Amino acid sequence: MGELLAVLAGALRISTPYTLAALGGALSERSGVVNIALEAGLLMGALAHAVVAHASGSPWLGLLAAMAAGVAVMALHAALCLHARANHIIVAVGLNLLAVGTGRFALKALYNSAANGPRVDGFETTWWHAVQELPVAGTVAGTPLVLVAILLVPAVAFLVDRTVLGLRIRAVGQHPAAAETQGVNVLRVRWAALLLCGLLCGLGGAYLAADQHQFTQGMSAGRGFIAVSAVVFGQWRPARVWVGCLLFGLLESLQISLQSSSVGIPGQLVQMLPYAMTLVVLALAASRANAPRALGQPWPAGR
Amino acid sequence: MLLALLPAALAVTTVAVLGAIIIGALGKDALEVGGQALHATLLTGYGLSQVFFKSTPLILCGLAVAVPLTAGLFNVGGEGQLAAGGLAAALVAGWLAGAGAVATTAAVMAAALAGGAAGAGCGVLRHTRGVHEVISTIMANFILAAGCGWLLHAFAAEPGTSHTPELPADVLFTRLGSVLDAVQGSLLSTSLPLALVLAALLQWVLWRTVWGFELRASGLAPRAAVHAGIRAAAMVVGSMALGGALAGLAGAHFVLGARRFFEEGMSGGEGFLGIAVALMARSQPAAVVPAALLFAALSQAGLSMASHVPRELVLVLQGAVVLVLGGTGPLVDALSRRRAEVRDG
Amino acid sequence: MTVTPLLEAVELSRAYGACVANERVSLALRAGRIHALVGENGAGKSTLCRMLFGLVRPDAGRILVDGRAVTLRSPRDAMAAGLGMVHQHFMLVDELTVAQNVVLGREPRRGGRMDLARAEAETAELAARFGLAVDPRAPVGGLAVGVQQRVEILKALHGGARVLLLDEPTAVLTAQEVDALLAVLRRLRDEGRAILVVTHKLPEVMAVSDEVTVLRQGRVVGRLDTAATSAVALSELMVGRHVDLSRRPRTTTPAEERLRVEDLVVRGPDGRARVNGVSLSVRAGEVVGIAGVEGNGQAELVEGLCGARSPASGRVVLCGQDVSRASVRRRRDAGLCHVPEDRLAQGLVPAMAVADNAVLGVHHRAPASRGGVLRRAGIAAAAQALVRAYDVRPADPALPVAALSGGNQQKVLVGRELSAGPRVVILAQPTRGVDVGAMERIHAAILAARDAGLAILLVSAELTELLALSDVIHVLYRGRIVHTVDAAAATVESLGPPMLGAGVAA
Repeated sequence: MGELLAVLAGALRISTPYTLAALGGALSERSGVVNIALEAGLLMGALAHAVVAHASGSPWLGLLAAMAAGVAVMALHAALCLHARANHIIVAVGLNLLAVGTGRFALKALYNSAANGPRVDGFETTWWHAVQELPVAGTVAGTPLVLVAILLVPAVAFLVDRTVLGLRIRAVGQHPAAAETQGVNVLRVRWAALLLCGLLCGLGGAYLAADQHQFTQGMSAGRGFIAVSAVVFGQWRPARVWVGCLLFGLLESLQISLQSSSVGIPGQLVQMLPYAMTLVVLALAASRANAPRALGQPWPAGR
Repeated sequence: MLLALLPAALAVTTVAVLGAIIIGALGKDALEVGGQALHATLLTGYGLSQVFFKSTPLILCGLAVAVPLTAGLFNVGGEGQLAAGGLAAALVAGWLAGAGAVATTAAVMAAALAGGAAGAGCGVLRHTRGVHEVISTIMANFILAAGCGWLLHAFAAEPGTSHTPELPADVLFTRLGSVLDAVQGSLLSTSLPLALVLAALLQWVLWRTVWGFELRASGLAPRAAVHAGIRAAAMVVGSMALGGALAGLAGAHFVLGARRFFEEGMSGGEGFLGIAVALMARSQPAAVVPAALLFAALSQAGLSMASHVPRELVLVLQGAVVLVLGGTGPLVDALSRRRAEVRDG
Repeated sequence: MTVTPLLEAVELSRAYGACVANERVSLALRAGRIHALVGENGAGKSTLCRMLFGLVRPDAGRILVDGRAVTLRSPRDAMAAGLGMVHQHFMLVDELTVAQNVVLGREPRRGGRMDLARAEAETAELAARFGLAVDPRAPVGGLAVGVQQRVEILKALHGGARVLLLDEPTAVLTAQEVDALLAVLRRLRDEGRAILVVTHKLPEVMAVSDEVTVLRQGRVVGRLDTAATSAVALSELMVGRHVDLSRRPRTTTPAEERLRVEDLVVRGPDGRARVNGVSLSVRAGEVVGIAGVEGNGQAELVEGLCGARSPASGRVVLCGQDVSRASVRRRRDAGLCHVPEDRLAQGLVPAMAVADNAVLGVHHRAPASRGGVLRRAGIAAAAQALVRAYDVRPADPALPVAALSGGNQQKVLVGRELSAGPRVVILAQPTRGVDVGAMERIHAAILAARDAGLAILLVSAELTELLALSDVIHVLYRGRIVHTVDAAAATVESLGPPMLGAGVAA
């Protein structure tokens, strides 16, 4: 029973950065912008968090910096895709390369290290330690961002389904011309979606750095791509996307407990599991039939 | 013709401007550092031979992106396909050690097959299940990295090391220095001419054969291609398989032309850089060669200034180049269209 | 009357590259009047409409609202000026509800969120006031075309439009739906709104409008009171010369059967049968027409016949050979060619040169290639021949197809298919969106092909086209052939009821 709880708690913790990034990805894609730069958002968020938290001594300033970094990444995404009309995938590939390079360069330039930065404090404060002392909640809650991520699921769902911005995001992702003829500024709505996406990715990055108490090169380790898969798996709906993230988190949590229980399955094979499962899940369950119709198309069309 | 050079000019400008800014920000004299690096890279025999050496896997990985991109598919799986190809080459060459050129040939084919199978798998997922190739190839990168690591440690590693046993010289690619005095002592081997021949061959295939015509048509207008009797499955799976095979050959280059063994994390990101190369070349196989040389020179220049600035700077610049090329792609397209219209009157 | 027009266009001009779409076009819309803007395809009607709604900026000229000059930079400006537009291709977000579509861009809010209840109430109220029956909560994607159009009108009215611009509003409607629409327009007129109806269908113009402006090649060639003119007079003004689109019956008798379709069932992407048990036969030297309101399975029928979509059941027999399961290429090689309805997405590769497009589909055999290798000379010769035979302009095979006008693109497509040596040709909407000149040339080519002994299946939404070219006409309704008639005995009026499913058990 204790072990099961540990696996579930692990799943929740592991899925946190997936959830944050994937919620952002869902917003971005619902507005019509393909976003496989979640990886870059996570990594830059983690870097900014670690650097600022280390320099200032405050993880909360680090959190702000992480959000700013995520927003900066997605602002670049928006500028290139929305105004220069660049291919969304190419831009994301470039952003991901740039993020990996920036991370490694910063480690070298700031800390003269090839692999990892100095230790930073997590978000644990006195009152939070009290929460963590609680029997079940403590195990599950981990750091505050785990809870924040869970609360953000209904928040983003509400944003999409019940607010004016959400209606416009859905409209410009499905039929930008219709929105335009109703006086909606398509590019502005997409900008808003991308900036929110950056904010969420930044939070996810901060979680990564805070969780491991340091920045290590390439620490996003494909999480952004798994988040992209969760977006497709969840058919672009926040709640279902979250389910996808939990599923991936659970798989990974199981993998960790398998590894530590030394059942004799080689570590590398277990490492493959989440990625292989992603492919299997996408192949079996997900279709792009429900994808936003204008996904990846430049606006205005033509030219 | 000038338009064809525009992407390269943009890339060079990006590197120069951004590089200078960053080097300056680190408190170094950008002109001096850059000048030294340029000199060491382009004006010394060693530097130049290193540029050509480093360009070999970049050409192959650039082609690995360019071919599927012609059919409208984004192969981001070069890194994994390269690893699969490298391991296959190391295993086959190891088994056939002593068989000389036969072993080399078999190892090269095994590398192409392994990489090709990895690419084809993603093509099949795309065609039959609608799984986007960008996601599947990225996932395949992680799966293949872990899988090759497992195979290596479980079956193939030299005891006590994390690489396969060193291969005997007879199964390796021939060093060009042994036949060409000018490049004596350099690392260049037959993998370079192999890459060059492949680039030329693919240029011909894409523009002069029925298959290339069909590939281009289905990349530009997939539905029209289907109505014209072109089989989408053959295009999707075929181009991904060919792309994977080319990246697999880059793996063979590392094993048979550089390291003499397979090890994890063998490539320095060539699989991803191939995307930048293909973008700069605008998916033209022949143009992949100069584009690869440019990126190789950039990387070599980064190495040669490592005593002044972190060589990771090169990674930042490479990312920036992809962004600039991606961001200006539509503009360049529009310019070439405008030119076509002007010519028409 | 000297009442200030609600909306006035003064000498508007607009060019696209070298092509002048509008030249000094003037137009005045007055309260309580329905104004018809008529002209052939490509006469510049849509461009004018788009300029009036802020979607396209004029190169020259002025737009006056209530007598004051305005600059319309975007639809938002146009809506603020009291204009509303019903687009030819509906501007509706299928996934949203009727109410959400109606209020999009000016959503009622309560606190930070959207007040959906109020949006629905406002929609229902507007709908009731103008007799536009529609459920505010229904997702738009599932509605019939006629109902979707009501939503479009509601959108404009919700925006407070005093001037309503309707671009080809009847193109996709059944006759019943057209009547309902015209009734709504009259009611809006009587309420004091100004209405512009853009169309090329003259009976509707005569039925509903108060005044008419005729456009030809981007210029106004007539301004008339509807009461003082006739459909015949208008059509002559529109075309500018006598165009013979009347029947030219065949001179030969049809020979052997070339295409036989038995009980064909083709499913759409959602698994629903879009073609549901169609049987027909086309003989050499005859044109068989398929009539029907769009969306009744025509597209799927064509795709099922040409092999782009495999049929769920039934047989397709080509010259005695069962090709039901054959690939597109095998059917092509067996002599089945087709002109798909969406030429830019299905028929041509716009970014490729005219020459490459001229051999697309036959590129795998001589003269375009040999042994898997392209033959430049063969391709160039084929392209030259096509450009000359169909008078493609500009006559430069190296030009990308995207640089040609719609009519010239269609000439490349039709010419390619007819010169591929076919035994059966399927043509889907072969003259959609092309100018009169190109239409005449394409019609002539179809008739010449018929006289040369080809078997032709013609799918068209234009009844006049079907009546002019076909020997037999089948009416397709909800995936079934519900009516078959000898074209010589058919009229536009007689085909109307079966197209609406009249006399068909639902």
